[in-house]
Amino acid sequence: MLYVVDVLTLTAIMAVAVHGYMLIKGLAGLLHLGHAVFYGLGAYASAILTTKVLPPGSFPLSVAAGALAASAGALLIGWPALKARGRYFMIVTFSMQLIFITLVINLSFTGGPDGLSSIPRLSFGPWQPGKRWMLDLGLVTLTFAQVKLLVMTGFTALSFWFCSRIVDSPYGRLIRAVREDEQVAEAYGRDATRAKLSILLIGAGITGAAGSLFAHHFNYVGPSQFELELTMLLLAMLILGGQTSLLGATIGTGLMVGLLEGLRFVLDNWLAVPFEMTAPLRQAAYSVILILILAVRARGLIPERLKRHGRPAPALPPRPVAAEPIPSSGTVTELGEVVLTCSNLQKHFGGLTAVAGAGFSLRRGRIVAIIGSNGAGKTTIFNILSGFERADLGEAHMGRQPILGKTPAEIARLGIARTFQDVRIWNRLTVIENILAARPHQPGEHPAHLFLSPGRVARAEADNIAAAWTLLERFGLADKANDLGNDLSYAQRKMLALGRITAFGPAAMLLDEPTSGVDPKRLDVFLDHIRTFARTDDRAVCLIEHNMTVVKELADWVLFMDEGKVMTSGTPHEVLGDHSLMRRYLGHQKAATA
Amino acid sequence: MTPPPSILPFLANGLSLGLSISLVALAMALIWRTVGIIDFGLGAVYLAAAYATLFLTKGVGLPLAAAIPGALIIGTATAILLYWAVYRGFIRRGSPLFVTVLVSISVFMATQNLISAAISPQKFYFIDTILPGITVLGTRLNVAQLAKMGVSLTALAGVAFFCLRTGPGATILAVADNKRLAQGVGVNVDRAYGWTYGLAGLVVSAAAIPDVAESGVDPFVAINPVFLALAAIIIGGLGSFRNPVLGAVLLGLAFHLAVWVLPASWQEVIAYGFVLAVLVARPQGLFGGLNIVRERA
Repeated sequence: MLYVVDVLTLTAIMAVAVHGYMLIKGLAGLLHLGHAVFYGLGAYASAILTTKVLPPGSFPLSVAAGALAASAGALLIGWPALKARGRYFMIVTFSMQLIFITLVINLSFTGGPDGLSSIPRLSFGPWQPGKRWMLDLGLVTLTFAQVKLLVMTGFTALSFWFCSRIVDSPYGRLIRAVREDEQVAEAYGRDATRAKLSILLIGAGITGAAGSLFAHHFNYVGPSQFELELTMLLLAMLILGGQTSLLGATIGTGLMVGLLEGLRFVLDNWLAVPFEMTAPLRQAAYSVILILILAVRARGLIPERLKRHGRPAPALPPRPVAAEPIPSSGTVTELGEVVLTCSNLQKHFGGLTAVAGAGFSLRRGRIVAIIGSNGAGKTTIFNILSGFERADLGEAHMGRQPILGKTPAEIARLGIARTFQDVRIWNRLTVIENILAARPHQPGEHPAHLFLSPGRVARAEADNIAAAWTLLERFGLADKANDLGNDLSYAQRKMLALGRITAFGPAAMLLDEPTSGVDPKRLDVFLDHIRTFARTDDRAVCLIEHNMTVVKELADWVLFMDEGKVMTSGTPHEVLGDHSLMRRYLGHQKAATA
Repeated sequence: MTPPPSILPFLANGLSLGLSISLVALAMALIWRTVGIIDFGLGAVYLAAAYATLFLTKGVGLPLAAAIPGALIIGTATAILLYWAVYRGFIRRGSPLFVTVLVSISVFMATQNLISAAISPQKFYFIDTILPGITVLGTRLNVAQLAKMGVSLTALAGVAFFCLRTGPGATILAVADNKRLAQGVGVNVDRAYGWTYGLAGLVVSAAAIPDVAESGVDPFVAINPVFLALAAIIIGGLGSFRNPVLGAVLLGLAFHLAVWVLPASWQEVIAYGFVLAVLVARPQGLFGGLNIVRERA
């Protein structure tokens, strides 16, 4: 009986650590291979504090300290490692895993290879139960071990609640958007590195708390407990259950313990395998189980739970929100305020000149089209203006603010947003989440607000959802609202990209080939929407376009680019009517397609 | 204050260790560049060669020299078999790097623990007499150490010859350089992967046999070589197959020069600190070239 209680207690503690792993690896998609380090940091911090510094009865304080220590460790690892993308983080965390053990063995305050023992058991202020302590509840009497199991299970429940608040919040949505495509998140004003770092700190903190619980449960910590084997076991638990699901992470932990304990039972009782062979066989077993899960069902048992957003009841009778029909002919004579200007932009890639002194300005309510053959430097200009490439020379201002040298997120927050030639919607977010994640000024995107001002977050989210539904209806995507972005057709994805940029509400929109690949029969709908951006929403719109019909229909002003320069500009009539220019352009196009 | 000891023995030992690490590092780099897997499963290959040596000498009763060819064959075969039985499926499915890394670590861990359970967790020694040796640069190098250095240099030269002068070697280089292009000109990528694993297996076995002949074999004897090989790749970079070898030699030197000035227990901390410093300051490796760690996973 005592053994079962002990196993269950350890399972409850491990589940907390796996919750932390789920946030880092599952929710944020960080390739993290050193989870045992965070667990170990928490355990060691508690062990050192409670045996050397804190007075007896400081269990809660010790758990908090364990969480803090692990978060501090995560900050040290994460700050340099998260600026880069992808596999660099994996190699850094893996190296940390190897270095951590070496460090712990070599330091004196960690007890060296012997570790630290006599860590106090659960205690709270004056309540410091001894070995024979019992809790008499009348009907049942609970032993200390049973009470400890209840406490640890309470921690599992607490961490489940805490993590599910995060997963289901606007902050969790932001983290998932960063996981899916961090550059796009940056293009919509979010600081991707900060988002990744924050979730790493939170996940590490939860894991550190679990490590602290472990120290108080086991009353001993030593280097061999936090080796790569533990990281692999926690990963096996996470991946078995489903790494993008909190429920999966919890169930995976239980299942894995069940499998390993079942194996132990079979080995001990049925096969009569000698005791010293059971431990390595169990370790071999979870390695093999991990390979099998990865081979058979790499996404685990339980898929990511997608929050369905119901349509809020309209407060007013619904009004038609489709794009207003706007006369397609004629140009706007009244000039709007200049929003964005750039001049003398230059960009070289090695010996290749991509942009050679281009410049133009965008005005509110006006649509500027950039045309030119492939390689003329059109997309590079968009990349410079949105901060994804650094210009070698030149100037660009949004209002009065200079923008060159700023990060994509900073530029976006000044009111410039862009779409991408290859669409790049967040694939594993639902359609409505794609819209929601792009909306600016969300208090719920800050993790502290989730717990400190939940009412404000909930109100803002309700407003966001209502606004998102309106947008979905405007762009004809309402019936797809709760489908995954991944499941949309190409035209629907293009439409969603327009919806997403509208949700962000920028003053200047840079649309990179918004209608390419769209069925000509559906083209009119796209044209209406883009026209609405300028005429009704009063935004400055700049689009890169190859389709001359679109240019003729939409543009107030056309820039013709070639070899990185603006060769000429004028009304569509002037530029498209210039036969020598068009011959040059179309000649290029023919050469490109030949 | 006593004057610091002569640096020369530390240099000699460092070079010896570095050459030894360089073989596993080269094998790992071959697979990493060509197949695209960070293959910690090479630890299983190392163990296969080591235990084959043990089995052929102690079990069958062959002299060590006669057991070596058999152990080399078994090690190489294990590498190819692991590729066919385990990795190929994941590669065909286009599994991301993280998944294949987990698989390779699991292969390594499972092998260690299965050997530990099925044979014994204890250490076996091959040679129980004090080996004859010579004194070089003020440090005594025994026959096994000299043999290791000789084997390392021969194996490095052999890999270079194989890759630069033979047809299968050329396919390995071609796939490592540009897989799509290689496919486009008719290279059978699957077969090139098989050759890569065979070559890597042979090189790892060549590293394992003299290592364990010198210091014995237990189930966990492959941990250090494999992780130091990763460290060598991080230090040297993956720009060319020369870089991890240079990284390994630098790492070996760092390991032993650390002991020259600091207590021996800090040896690993200094060596891994070196790795961390390189990761932070020059993630592409000291000798750079291809910045593989910054590619999107």
